[in-house]
Amino acid sequence: MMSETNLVCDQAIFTSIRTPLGEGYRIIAASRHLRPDEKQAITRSSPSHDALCPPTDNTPGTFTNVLGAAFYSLPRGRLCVALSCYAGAEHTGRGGQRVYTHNLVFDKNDFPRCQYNPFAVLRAMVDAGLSSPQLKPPPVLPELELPITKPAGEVSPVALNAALDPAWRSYVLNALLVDRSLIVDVVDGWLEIAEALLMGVPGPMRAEISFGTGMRFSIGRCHRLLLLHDDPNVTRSRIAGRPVEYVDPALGQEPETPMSAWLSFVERHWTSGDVATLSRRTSRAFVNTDGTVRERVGRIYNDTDAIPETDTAKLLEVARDYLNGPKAEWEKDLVDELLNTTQCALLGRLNRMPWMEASRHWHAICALWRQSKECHNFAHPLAEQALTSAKAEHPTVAATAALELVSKVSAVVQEEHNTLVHNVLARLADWADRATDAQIEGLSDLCLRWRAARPQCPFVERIHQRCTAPATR
Amino acid sequence: MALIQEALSQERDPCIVTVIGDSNVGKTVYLGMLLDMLSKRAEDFEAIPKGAYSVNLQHNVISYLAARQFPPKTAMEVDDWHWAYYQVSRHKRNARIYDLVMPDMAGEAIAAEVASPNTFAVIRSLLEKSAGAILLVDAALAGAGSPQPDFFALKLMSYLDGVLVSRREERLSTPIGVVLSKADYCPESFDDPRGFARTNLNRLWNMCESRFESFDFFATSVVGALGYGTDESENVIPYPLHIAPRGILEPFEWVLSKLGR
Repeated sequence: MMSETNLVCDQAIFTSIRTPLGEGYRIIAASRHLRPDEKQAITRSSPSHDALCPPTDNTPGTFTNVLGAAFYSLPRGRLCVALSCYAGAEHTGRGGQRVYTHNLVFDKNDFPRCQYNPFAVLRAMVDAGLSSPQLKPPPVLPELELPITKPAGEVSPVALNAALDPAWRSYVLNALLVDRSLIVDVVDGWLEIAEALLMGVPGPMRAEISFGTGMRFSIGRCHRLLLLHDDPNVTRSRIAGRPVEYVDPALGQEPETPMSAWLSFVERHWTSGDVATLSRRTSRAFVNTDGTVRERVGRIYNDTDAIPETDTAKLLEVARDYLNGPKAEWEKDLVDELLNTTQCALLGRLNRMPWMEASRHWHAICALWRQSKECHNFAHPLAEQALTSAKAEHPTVAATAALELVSKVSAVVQEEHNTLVHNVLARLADWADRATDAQIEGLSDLCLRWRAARPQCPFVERIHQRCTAPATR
Repeated sequence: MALIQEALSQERDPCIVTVIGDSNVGKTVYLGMLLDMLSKRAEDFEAIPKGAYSVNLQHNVISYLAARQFPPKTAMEVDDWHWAYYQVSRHKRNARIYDLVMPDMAGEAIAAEVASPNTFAVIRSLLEKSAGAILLVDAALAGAGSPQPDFFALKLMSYLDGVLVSRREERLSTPIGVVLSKADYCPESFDDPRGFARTNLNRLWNMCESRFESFDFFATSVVGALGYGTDESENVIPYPLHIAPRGILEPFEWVLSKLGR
């Protein structure tokens, strides 16, 4: 959950007005600390006359009145988030609407505090009233402290499917991950769809992925991802000869994208419409975001989410693989989360299982117990729960099972699980004290094995004495 | 891309004549009208478009004017600019042929480049390669006493001076035709454009005298009569009721006469 944070930003307003000093599209007001090269970039990137795509579905929502948005890096590394809207008729009377763009510029080091999500900044801009055009601003705008409170927005799976079906959205995401640039024809819901797509990219990578929505393509603002709905022939002619791909999901064959753990992880969240969780998971401060790391992270998340549907034997295997496998520092908490979730799931199942069923997994639990200290710690509560089931079946059953636990372990480990074993043996001893001679028959063998394993244990001695005592009951 | 391919196929380097000026000064209308008149062999000129794209600008302008509207604002995005590539010559045997490239640039883009060089590198590049330039200045505003046209023109000429001249002691030899647009508002400018400029655009006049070898002033007008209305935002909308081009060809003719010297 993103805690509220204040983002310190410089501002710039780009639009067309007539003033004593001039007229036409330009930066009409800006913060004092906006650098000249940043102003140049904003001037080149901001939409001017007739550059916004005609609005289609004006569904009220978070981004009411926002017709276009953009996110890109500026020279020297600061980031710019811009929202565009109409601000009345073009003032020289030559037809068309006046385009108004409010730009916020902030330090790249502050991006993690927004969960690497430029849409969190856009939402904050709308909440702060920046989507309402200011046509008479002071020439120098103050530095802005923008409260960022809302994490990723929600995207209806129906809306996402209508815009991009699973094959197309995986294709688009894969293209973004391998540094390709795309223009995607989306009829409406540009902002929501763009956010869903961008949240499929690891957070630290997003600063390098510029995007635009709702504005026509221009070579001056050649974003990595552009969502629009415009005449396809015009768009295609503009990108001719450029390394930009035009994608129209309504036409053409569905693409084939090699599936990967990362793509399948993202797709599951898109299918369920859970962009908020997707954002939380992908917006971590990954130190490394290359393909190998993404695959590893995708696999961890996939395995974590598959826990409820994974059978117990397979769960134990998964736990073993992650416990024994190499763990980089960056993934430690992800793996810990997976292991904690696995352990909880196993405990819950063992709690509900009769011993007859739990015994099928006992060997695997014991194997895990013996492998390493970390494995032992993981398996300890599982063993305890399983033995509880065994004790409920019969104390001798628990004692027989516990023998497998204590064999081939070091003295150090023995010391650590004494409580577990003592509980089992204490229960057996209590039972033996109350049992009849006939019930005791057959206990001798078990007792002998325990004497070999734990010769000093007082409970074992007590059981032995009962087994060897003259028949009286 | 099409323009480059056409130029290569001619095996002659094209001459770039840039039409420059502030936003809303009339560059699109002037250039569209000029190209249309050349296409109609006005003043014995012959102009052949190289590529269908070259006709888009004049088609756009003439269509809008025929509907009694001014054409829409030129967007700042370079992709939206019209590029005209024409083969121009006098309609007589052995006349010299000029391959002219004339882009219709957005005034705001020019203003942004002048204010902060390298904002639009394409403009700088075009100007550096220009064989001649036609600078439009709003005579109506200047005649009404506004200093803005003079200041903008001064900045633009100063920018050209910086871009095109390598040594301070040199004067710019590129021919610059200064066109007083919308001169129908101040018809006296037709009688004496140089006098009008010296009076109402004095800063520009002085700059030209000091730093440019080859320049002249011309008055031009496209509209014979204007009507006015308002839109939903109370903006005044001018409507061209009657087209009466005047002084369109002269600046172009002058620049052409200076090319190749």
